[in-house]
Amino acid sequence: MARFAKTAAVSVAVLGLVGGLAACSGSSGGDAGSGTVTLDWSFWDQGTTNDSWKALADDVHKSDANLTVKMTMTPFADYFTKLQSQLAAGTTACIVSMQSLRLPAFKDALEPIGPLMEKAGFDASEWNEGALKALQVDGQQYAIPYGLSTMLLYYNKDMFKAAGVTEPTNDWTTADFEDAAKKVTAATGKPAFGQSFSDLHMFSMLLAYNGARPVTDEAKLDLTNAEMKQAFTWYTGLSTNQKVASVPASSSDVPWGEQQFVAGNVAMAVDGDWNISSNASDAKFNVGVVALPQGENGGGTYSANSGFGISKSCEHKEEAAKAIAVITGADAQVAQAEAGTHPARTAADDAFFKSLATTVDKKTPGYSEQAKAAMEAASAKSIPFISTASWDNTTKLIAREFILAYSGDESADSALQSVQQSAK
Amino acid sequence: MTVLVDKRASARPRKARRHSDGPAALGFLTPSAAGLTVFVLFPSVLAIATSLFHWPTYGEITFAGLDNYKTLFTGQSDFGAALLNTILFTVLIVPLNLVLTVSVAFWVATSRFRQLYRVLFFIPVVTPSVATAIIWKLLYQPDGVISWAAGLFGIQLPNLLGSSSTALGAVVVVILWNGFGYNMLIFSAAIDQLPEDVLAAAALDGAGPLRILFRMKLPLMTPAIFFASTVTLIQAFQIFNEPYVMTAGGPGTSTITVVMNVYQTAFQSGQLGEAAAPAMVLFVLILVVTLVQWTGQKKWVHYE
Repeated sequence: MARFAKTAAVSVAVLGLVGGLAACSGSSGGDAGSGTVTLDWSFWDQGTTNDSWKALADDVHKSDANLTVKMTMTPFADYFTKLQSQLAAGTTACIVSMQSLRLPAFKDALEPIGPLMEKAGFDASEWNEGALKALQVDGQQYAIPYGLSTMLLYYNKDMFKAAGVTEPTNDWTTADFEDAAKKVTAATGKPAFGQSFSDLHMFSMLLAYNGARPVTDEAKLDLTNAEMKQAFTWYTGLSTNQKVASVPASSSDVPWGEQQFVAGNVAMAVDGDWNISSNASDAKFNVGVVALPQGENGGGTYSANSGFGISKSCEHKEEAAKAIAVITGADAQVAQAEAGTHPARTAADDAFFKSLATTVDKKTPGYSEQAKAAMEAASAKSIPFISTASWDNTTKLIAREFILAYSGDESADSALQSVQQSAK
Repeated sequence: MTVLVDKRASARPRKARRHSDGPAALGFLTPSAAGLTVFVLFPSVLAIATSLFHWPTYGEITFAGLDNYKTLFTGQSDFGAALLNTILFTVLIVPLNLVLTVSVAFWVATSRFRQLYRVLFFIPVVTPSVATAIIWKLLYQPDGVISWAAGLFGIQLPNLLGSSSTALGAVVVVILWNGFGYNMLIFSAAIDQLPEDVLAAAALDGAGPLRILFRMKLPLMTPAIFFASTVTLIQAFQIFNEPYVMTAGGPGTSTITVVMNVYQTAFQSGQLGEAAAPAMVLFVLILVVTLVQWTGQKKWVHYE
């Protein structure tokens, strides 16, 4: 009996030990031992430019032997869900990559970065103003940008040529767009334009149509205003009435249009200029790119960007700021520009277009010039995309409801109403 | 009195000879019990507690009492639709699964290549359900293989995953395909264990094959059927992978399930307390259904 009790006591002790170990939370953001500091940096998969980013992490160590940066990459679709669970568990990385769209939702988890960066030598005059502003909320800087992007219209040059339709220009109107779409659809037998549920991609087409915006300046969702109803009716009409658009196959196919474009199934799609190099090199056809077609009161296009912030739970904030200064430093931006990412530092612009010329112009002559013209035309009339604090929830609702409007099972108005009511 | 004296008299020699399995058993159970405690019991209790709080992923945690449960049935929550869909999924999948697997198990048992068939049917079970869901999604696409095949027969299929009337059915097909082999294996084992002599005697007595099937074989298999139906029911209530990958809950709310609602509330809306409440409701629902099944087994399960 005593032996049994003793064994039982040992078992309970083991259980308690295991339970205690499991309950222990891991280190938050990094650890320091004997003067060296290791920082965690969370980022989303960049595809072909992954290696250039990893090289920047190594550059931090080169600049300061006591500082090491460990980068973790997650597919973009899962990145913000993962960030949520890391925040809940207290295991957020020190250096957190953040997209301007998602900043309102996550700003409470980030440390205002301005004062920390100034200590590390930050000078706002070296930066594109719009790029910095997109990562501010209420005048506070929360992240340092590494790029600045606008939404553009990509088209399949080969399909246009085969259909005998003149290629798009930066002055295209909505009427020109519809006309070309009809002709290309008739010639190829497949819908010419790929619709999308991606927030930037879809809402930028609506903005370009008549200036409609889904979120007010006070960051409140407003999908039922008159311009939005008009614009969305036009957008869904592309598939339901005019039959020139390809509808996403399901609500889980969020980036439908842009993926169908690269696969060669649709002739036109909206995509960001972050893919201006990879789309052209990855596609098995010749790619062209212009600014979005504008309606009568068209509002131009949306700009958005991403950058690096420091989590509030980071235990080495000053070291993190130093690391970010290296990662977004002048040399780093030139290296990124050469690798195909449009830089946020004004000095690195030339390097970007030169590199684009070397990578793509052999395959598609004149691409880098067309790209430069398109980006300049787009930037001239672009506004930052403002999102709400519960934007992830809203995008989920958009994918679920809007498919019914794209396929004609529901009216455009009731789809907008439905999302507006359900979104918190 | 006598017993006490006896015990004391022979205490030492008896102890030396006594071989107790207690400590050994405890030793072997501890790792499993440790895992169960840490990964199942502790989180379950924590979830019950979490459902009583407003618990954002970062920020202040405040006591909410039963507020999270009250909001489940308001218009803004997906829970109502999710519960309805989950029940619909279950009502479709469990009977279809059982009928199909029992039938195919019997059919395969008559074949010479039964072991090969059993392996082939089991392969979808061991393949990750997310991977098969992605492949099926491609098959279901408007330009995909399924609509091409239907076109050969002159049938114009709608976008199966994009239309609210067909999306749930399309996902049910994939779930049946994924989970088919598991129950089939259970029933195959049960069929293999059917007593030959009893069945032969019945045949000699003039019982036809259908009579033998319904009056003898199936009743003899009821323990296996009970197990399979209970497990399949519990799994059906927790469907998440296939609808999430294939339709993300759309179109509209036609394929949201309770577990999907829990996941999205916790990790897309960042509200852990509001996510724990539907999880608890599902827990109670599964518990009640399983209890009903458990008490019902006296009526229809024949253990030999």
